[in-house]
Amino acid sequence: MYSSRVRNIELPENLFSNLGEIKSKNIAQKKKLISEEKTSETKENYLKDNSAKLTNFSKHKEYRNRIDKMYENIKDITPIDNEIDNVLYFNNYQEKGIVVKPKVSSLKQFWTEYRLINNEKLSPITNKTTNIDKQLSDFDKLFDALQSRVTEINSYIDELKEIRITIDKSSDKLEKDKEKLSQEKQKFFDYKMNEESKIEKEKENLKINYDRLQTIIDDLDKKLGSINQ
Amino acid sequence: MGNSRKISLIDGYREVGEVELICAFEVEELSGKYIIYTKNEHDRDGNTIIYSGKIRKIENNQYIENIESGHEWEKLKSIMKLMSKYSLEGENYV
Repeated sequence: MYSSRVRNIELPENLFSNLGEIKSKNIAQKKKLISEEKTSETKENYLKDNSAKLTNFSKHKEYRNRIDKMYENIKDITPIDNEIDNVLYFNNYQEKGIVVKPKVSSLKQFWTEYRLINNEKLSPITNKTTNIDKQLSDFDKLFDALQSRVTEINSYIDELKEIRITIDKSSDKLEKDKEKLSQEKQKFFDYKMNEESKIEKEKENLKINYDRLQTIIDDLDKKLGSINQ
Repeated sequence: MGNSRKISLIDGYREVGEVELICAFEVEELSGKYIIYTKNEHDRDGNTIIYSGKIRKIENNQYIENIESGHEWEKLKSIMKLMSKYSLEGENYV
């Protein structure tokens, strides 16, 4: 499989020659800047160079712009590194390749950056974290409010229970009092009946005695009358 | 970035070689999965040789297959060249 006959390697058709020239110029410029910094030449000369005027913030921004542009140009590919097995089989496989200028480490660094920005674009972590934190904070507040409410309601229920117990006790007492009153009423009624009966008897006795007395008085009157004649 | 991932290539039951995986991706336009790998080979000028293969799962194994000439190969080439371009930019962006 690995005989040179079946390998297909394409040489770059001046694709990178221009890039190589431009990049080597930039590298030379940067090397010059670094050496100038290290020598006794003044900072003023260093700052005069356009590329040296970049602040740290500008460099970050430039890096970000570069990465964003890179992503925009390649974004129709989706990383699947975790899906590849450590063993690949083949039958009649003919390798196809190209020659490129960058080192393997640079290619891998590029791929790492691409994967990072791809993850960021697909699922923005910061927003998610912020949203999750906010949701947790809101949940804590809601939970505390609910907890307070539950405590209040429990206190109210306890009060209602106390009131119910008091009402039950009062109800029992009321029943007893009612019973007692009924008994008292009956007693009084009996007593009244009894006394009325006694009074009736006394009245009768009194009448009898009064009649007797009247009879006696009448007899006496008659006797007095006969004496006086 | 420092870790290298090695992939073994097996022809039938015989291990033929080991390659270093650079990246693996799916191309929606081609409805396929591909890898780019290197055997750490260089040409006379010190440039890096990289290869691209198509990945297909058959039963429980993954197979690396030929990339068809024509549109599929042109697309993979353009991807590899873009990767190379931005990797070079990254090298110079220090």
